[in-house]
Amino acid sequence: MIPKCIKRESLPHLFCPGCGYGLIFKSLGSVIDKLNIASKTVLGLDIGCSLLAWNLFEIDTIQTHHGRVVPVMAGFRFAKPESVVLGVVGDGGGYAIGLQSLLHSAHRNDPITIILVNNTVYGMTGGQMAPTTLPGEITDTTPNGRDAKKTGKPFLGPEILTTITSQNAYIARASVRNPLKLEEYFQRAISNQINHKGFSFMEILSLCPQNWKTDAAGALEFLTKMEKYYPIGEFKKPK
Amino acid sequence: MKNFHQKILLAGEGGQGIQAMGQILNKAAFSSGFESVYIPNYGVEQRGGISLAYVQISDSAIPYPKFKIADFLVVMCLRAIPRVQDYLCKKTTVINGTVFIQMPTQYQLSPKTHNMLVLGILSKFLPLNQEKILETMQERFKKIPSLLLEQNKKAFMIGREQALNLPLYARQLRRVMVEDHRNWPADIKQSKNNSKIVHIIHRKLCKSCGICIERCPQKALSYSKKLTGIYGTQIVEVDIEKCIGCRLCEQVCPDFSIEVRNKK
Repeated sequence: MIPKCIKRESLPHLFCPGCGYGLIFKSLGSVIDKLNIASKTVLGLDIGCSLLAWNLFEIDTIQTHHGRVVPVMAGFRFAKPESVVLGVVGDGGGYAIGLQSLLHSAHRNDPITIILVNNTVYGMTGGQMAPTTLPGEITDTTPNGRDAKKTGKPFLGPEILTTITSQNAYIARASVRNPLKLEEYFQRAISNQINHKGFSFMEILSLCPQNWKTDAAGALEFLTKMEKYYPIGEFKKPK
Repeated sequence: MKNFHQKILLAGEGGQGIQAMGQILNKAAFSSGFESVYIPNYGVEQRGGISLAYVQISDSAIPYPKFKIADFLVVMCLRAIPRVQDYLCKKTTVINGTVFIQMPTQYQLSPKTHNMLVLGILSKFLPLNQEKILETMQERFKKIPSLLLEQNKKAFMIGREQALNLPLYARQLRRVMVEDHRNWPADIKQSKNNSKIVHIIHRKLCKSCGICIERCPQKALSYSKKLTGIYGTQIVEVDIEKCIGCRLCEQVCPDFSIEVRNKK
């Protein structure tokens, strides 16, 4: 079933075959339908593969500068407190260029929902090393595999945000392997914002067969490897 | 000999192999004794961007690599058409590559060979030696698997044959808009043993990523041998008697292309 808030004319969407974004936006769309918030939702898209969803939804969409989706959406929410703001950002935008915005927003406990998609590479520019690249993973800029001694260990976002956010924050990590679980987490993250409780953050482990240079079987195998490194679950739930 | 100067514009989507076509054409022309230039034009994006290649072949020196009016215009995807319309004039020979997007699969070739097929068509209009182009292709593609190289060569030869009786709509930019993928029918199957299960695959949406094939608990899904999707790749087909109607494929399809109805 295609969610109601997805624009029929924009299909087939612009994502590559096997891209995890399709699954993420499908789950997000069905949650928006379920909560019936399409008219007051604003979707913010960062630079990166996420911007290919610019005409996917029948809801208001903003496209921001690289890594700046978090402050733009926070500002929107302050100006219009009854709206529901969703920021979609990649791992490069969220953990590299936009990290300071993300940290301060989490620290201030802004009532926004940020969805960070982790596919371990910079997808749109051709698969360069990102902060989340696994040790030993071969990318365009690490042809012999990522050396953790030189370039550091993969960045654990939710773990760090858990330590600096207040009690009412919602921090979770999900995987596209289980779309129903993903919907459940989306629902909690968005409800947390609607109830004016505080900052909601979700990291989603996604697929990128194009830049991992593999097929569906290889991509799902790599996702298993990622799930071992990045534990899945809810790190913080509002009381 | 009459002054010979041909300006060729190749246009398509990033990833279709536009630049490979341009490079092969350029080198083949140069090694055939012509003067030749090639200049690419594309953005940083892997997908969603338009990629152009300007090639000029002449018997005298070429002063500038770009041009305003093309003698040959090759379009490989519909979205590139608005971008290249300004390069048209009455004398321009148009080759609409989107017409042939399903052809490699019809000949049991990889869909990746589509660009070489169109290059084959184009080369028939140019005074280039067929052997020279095949040699250049071999050199350009020396890193790819030999099976794919053979398929590329085969696709090139098929293209040369096609060029002899090119349908009129393949010479125009417009007609293909009518043959839009939106009108393609869905592949609907109903189980005989359990008539409650109906499995629908929307051919116009399937990108052949294969995630449903991997996730199906009954191994009921496989690539179809006949039908192709929007990218000219083989779509997924269901063995309906094996299907138990669990709807997992519908859940995990990133392209909204599978629909399972299981009445209880």
